[in-house]
Amino acid sequence: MPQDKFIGELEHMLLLAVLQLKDQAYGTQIRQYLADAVGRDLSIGALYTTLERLEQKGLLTGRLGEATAERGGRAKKYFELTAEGSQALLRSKQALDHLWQGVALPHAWQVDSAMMGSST
Amino acid sequence: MNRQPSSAKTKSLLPKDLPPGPLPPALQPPLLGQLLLEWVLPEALQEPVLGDLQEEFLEKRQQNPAQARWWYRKQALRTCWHFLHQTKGDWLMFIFSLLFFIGISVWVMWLSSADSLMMFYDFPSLALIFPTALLFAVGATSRNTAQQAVAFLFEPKSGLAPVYYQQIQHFFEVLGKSGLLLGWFTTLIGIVAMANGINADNFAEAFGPSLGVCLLTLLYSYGLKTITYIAAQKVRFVAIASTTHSEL
Repeated sequence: MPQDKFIGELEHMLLLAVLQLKDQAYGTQIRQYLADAVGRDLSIGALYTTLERLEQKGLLTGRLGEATAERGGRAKKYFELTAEGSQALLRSKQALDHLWQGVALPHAWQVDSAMMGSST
Repeated sequence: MNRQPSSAKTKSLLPKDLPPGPLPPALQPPLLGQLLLEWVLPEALQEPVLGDLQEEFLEKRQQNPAQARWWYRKQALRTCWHFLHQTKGDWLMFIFSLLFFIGISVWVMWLSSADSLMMFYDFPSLALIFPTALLFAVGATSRNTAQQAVAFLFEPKSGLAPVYYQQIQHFFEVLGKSGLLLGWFTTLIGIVAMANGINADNFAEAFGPSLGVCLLTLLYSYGLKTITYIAAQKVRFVAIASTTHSEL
């Protein structure tokens, strides 16, 4: 399995966000979606650095869309998953699922209560 | 936690009946942040990133204008941090080398005379070297070239015509060489003045301070020559890189 097709956690989240947002997958929407869904507040710089990297790896494609008034006449850049992106995402999910099989977290109740606390 | 894409929510928060094209000044995000982003971002990302930030800024502005401006400035700084090394790495290294040179020079001056660092400062000597050398350089080239040279220091552009780089390099070379010549010339004036003003009675107390002031112009001129040499070499490097890139 080629090493360069493994993706990091943030890359994994971004690819999923692009899939979830379908034809609305552009910078602002991706950023807000990640903040709302998993509480990850990325700066727009960090977001585009990672999106660019995914584009260079061939996992995403970007295209300039329409310019709107609320953007001061500037175009949106929409992102879409490539076939390689889908494969990488699936491979990452399978790898994580495999690693999670039979795992019992020590102090799981502490982790659960900490997560409940952070989500309220 | 809201887990739905928020495009509908975003649209409802935006001001209605916005005119097409650039937004009116009242709805614009902080200008300094925009300029900083335009300076740092790669050209291909300027349109989507600035547009995204402006869209979200307008949305936040509907709720709290002051907080929206603060948010935009924070985003601009964090975004610059991400792209500064990528797009301005060479420029940062150039500025760092100049600052290091100035810092190390001041440190050596401080080591040699911690009590009176001011002995290295003499306004007439500075005025003799820097403005005159600058005037010579502008006179020998042009005001436009001088402006381009200053602009190059802040943003070294590659891929331009070879004559552009030759003119800027020429400007820095004239600035450095004329500064050096002025340094020797004014030092000679000082030596003549010393030769006429010092006699057997005041030699012991006057010779040292007079020679010190006399040599300061030479010190400043070599400082200027060093900096302009580095600037000219930077121009040459960018020119060679641009030529090589266009040939490939």
